Amino acid sequence: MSTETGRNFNLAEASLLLAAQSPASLEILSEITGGFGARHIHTASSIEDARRTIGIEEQHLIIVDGRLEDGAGLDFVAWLRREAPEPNRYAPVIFASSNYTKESFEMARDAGVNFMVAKPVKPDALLKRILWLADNPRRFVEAGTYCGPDRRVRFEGPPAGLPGRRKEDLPVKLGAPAGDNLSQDAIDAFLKPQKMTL
Amino acid sequence: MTDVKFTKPENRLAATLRRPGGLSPAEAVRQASSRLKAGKAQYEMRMDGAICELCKAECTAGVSPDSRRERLSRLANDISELAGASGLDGLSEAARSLHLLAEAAGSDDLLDDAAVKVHIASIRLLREQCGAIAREDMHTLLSGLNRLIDARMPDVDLPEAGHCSKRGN
Repeated sequence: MSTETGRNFNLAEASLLLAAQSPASLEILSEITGGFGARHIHTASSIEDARRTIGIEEQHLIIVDGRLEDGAGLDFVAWLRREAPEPNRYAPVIFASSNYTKESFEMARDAGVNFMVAKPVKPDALLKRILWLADNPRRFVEAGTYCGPDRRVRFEGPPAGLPGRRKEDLPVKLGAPAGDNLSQDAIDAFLKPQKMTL
Repeated sequence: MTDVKFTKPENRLAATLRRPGGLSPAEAVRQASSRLKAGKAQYEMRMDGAICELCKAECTAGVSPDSRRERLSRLANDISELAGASGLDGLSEAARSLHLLAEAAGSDDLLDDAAVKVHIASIRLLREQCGAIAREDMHTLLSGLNRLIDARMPDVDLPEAGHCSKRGN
């Protein structure tokens, strides 16, 4: 379900919780997600409001800003992962942040966030993360010091159909061979068990 | 040894997204962008209001450092969001830089007044020169703000200065 493949997705029946202190942030997020087809959008400007909404309705996706009226967005996420009723405690969380430091990423990850998106949020960047979340579910971990999606994400290349952003990502389309094919003997040599002397 | 429990919750987001109907990703991005475009005039009006308030906040005397910092941070965040939604990426970046500066000051610290003044002047300049500022000038201005932030928060990863000007401001 990547943005490039063009396969349809349907957010019409999904319930979304948007939490941010700033009315401008909430309005912009509502416009963007509304443009994606979401119809059940709940907004919360404080941790208290957000907790109340979580207690009332099952959410399919939660987008949290760094700052809420009565505390940090990550405090709400930490509460959600430890204390919220099921299935909301497992709901995917996207954290919108102005701060792109390594420390900020680590704090968000350790609070139980699934994904981070840089502010100001752009429609294509947000949609890519929503579709990626749907395609790449993670186990939920409950341990003494951490509750949330498994932080050990094995890197298996960029999502199908996407070009990737790392230097070492290979292009989606393979180029021409760089040299001659290996001989069968050379291939066998890679696979043949060898005796080992201790 | 700590007990660790793994569960594999139902992927409810994927289940709902896969329902019939809906939109193609390209259509969804187009619709979302159109909605932002439709609100552009209103966002810009609110952004101008926030810039005025920001200038007043800078001069307000008799306010505790903490509430001043809080106010600057909130206004800078709003300006950054509204400018970003209006496609004014350079202005959004300058406001984001001020937001970070205010956040970095922390509740028990004092704001760097000189850095705040430079940020506010830059935000005003970018707004007044809307669309007319040369790419090189934008690059220089954002690089300068970047250096001010670097002095406070060496780890901050601001987008390469000038990057935003490519998309117009």
